[in-house]
Amino acid sequence: MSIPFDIPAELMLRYYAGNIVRSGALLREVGSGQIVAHLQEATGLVQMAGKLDPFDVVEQGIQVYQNEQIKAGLALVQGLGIANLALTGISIGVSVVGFAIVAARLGRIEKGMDGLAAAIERVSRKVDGMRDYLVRQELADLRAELRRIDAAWASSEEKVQIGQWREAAGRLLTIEERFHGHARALATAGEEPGLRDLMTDAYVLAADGRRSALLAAGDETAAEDAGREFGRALGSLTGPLGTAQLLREMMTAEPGKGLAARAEAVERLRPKAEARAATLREREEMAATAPLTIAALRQAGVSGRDWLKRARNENRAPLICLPV
Amino acid sequence: MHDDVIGAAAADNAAIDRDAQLIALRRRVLEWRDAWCLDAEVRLTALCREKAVAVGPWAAGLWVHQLAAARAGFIKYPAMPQIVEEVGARAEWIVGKARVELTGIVAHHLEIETRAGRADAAADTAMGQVLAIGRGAAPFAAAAALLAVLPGLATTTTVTMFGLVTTSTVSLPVLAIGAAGVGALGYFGVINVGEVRSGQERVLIEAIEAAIEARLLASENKGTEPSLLAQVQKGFAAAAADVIGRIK
Repeated sequence: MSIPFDIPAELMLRYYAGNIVRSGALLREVGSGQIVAHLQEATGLVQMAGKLDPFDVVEQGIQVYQNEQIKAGLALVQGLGIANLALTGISIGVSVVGFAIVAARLGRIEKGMDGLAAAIERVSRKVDGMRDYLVRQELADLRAELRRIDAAWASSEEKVQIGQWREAAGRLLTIEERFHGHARALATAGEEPGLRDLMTDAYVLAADGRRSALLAAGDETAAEDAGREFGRALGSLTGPLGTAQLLREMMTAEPGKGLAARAEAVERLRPKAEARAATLREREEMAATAPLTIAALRQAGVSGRDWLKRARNENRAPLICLPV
Repeated sequence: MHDDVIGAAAADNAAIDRDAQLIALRRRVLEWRDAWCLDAEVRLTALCREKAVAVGPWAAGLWVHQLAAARAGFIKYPAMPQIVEEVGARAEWIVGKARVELTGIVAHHLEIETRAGRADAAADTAMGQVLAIGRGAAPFAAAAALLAVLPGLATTTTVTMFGLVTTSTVSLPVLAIGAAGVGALGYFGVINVGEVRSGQERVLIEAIEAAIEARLLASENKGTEPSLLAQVQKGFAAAAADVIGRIK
């Protein structure tokens, strides 16, 4: 089935006119709420995020764009309000990031754990399974499976590819559950918000990877189901974290004395808490809307694997699009 | 294409659109919760800070023995009831505004569902309960009526809020050195009374501010009643959870 994967100019005009809004990875009509297009990140966006983040460019040696291409792509992602999402590692649609980027994200989680060594030691006495060496092993397992998913794309034999993706999806289910368990246990115990966030990030990488592997393997119904479960679980995990709670966590980290200190801290930390809460809400919405795209692909007769392949091969545009 | 195939495709599209609408509503409600919890935090903290400025001049007007007596809880800070009343009134105002906005969010959702022809009797009846009360009355009256529908916000009724703060006595911590001790030390010239006074004043001001913070702003008070701010924020969170629960 032939589908124009570029975002139609007419849609963008309506978007800029305020007749269409973006909701997660969807573009919807304001009046009717009807979906007019599904968005999917492409390799171009990942590279653009790398361009915006000097760390990734230096560390991963990502090919740098020509200036004009960067400008056009940036205008699009900024216009849609997703430039920041790319920087924070939130997948738009189903993840298509290469292993280099995944490794960088995992590296940040490990680095974050290095800075929380004392806290992990303390928490390990209260939260089952929250031991430094165990979590690091789980991160290593996660890295291996995400690498397997990426490497399978290079294989010339479809049967081998599918086998690798299915194997990765199966193993990621266990890993995903473990990180989800860690994050939930920390949240329930009200312990170490920094560590809770790192475990949530690892859970998101695992669940995102599993969804992607299932879709690539052609198990589209399973991918949609996994995506819906991911959306529900993530919403349940981070939904209760509102701006006020995040603000209080930040204030607890730097206790001051008296009302003047409290008032000053509230004003100073407020933008940071608002930005963090906005990122959580955006990530929840992205996770919840991605399975709708998988359902729409099936309905449109587009193979999930072809969709991902197209997104991975799209080096220039930041996004591909499925108009409805 | 056969009619039944077209019909099935349209039904699939409608189902996907409806899921998308519910996802968007969930986010909007959580953003409502986040915005108003933060608004309450910022406004109530600023008001408490503003009102506490008068504590210093009051403490400066006390005799040394009165400072110690005040620290021991024998003399109450006279403006405390007024602070409690003003902060309570501000909280009530915030809750009222938030309720009106939540009604608007639900109304907008139902309008979209109706316009798209996706009205779901069971789910929309639950939402409609929220909205029906809000409509047909002035905004603030509607907001008050919503209390009957949203259990979360019902916990922050005026009665509850003012019941909490007006019946509570603001007792200050009893410190190690009592009034008699300080007076005696000053009388015999063992220590500089001016330094004692300055220190006493500072400790007293801190104690009053801590009491204001505990009663009105603290995120949690183990073993005691939650603060006014904590109750308001808990109410917003419960109301958001209630609306989200209705969309499942």
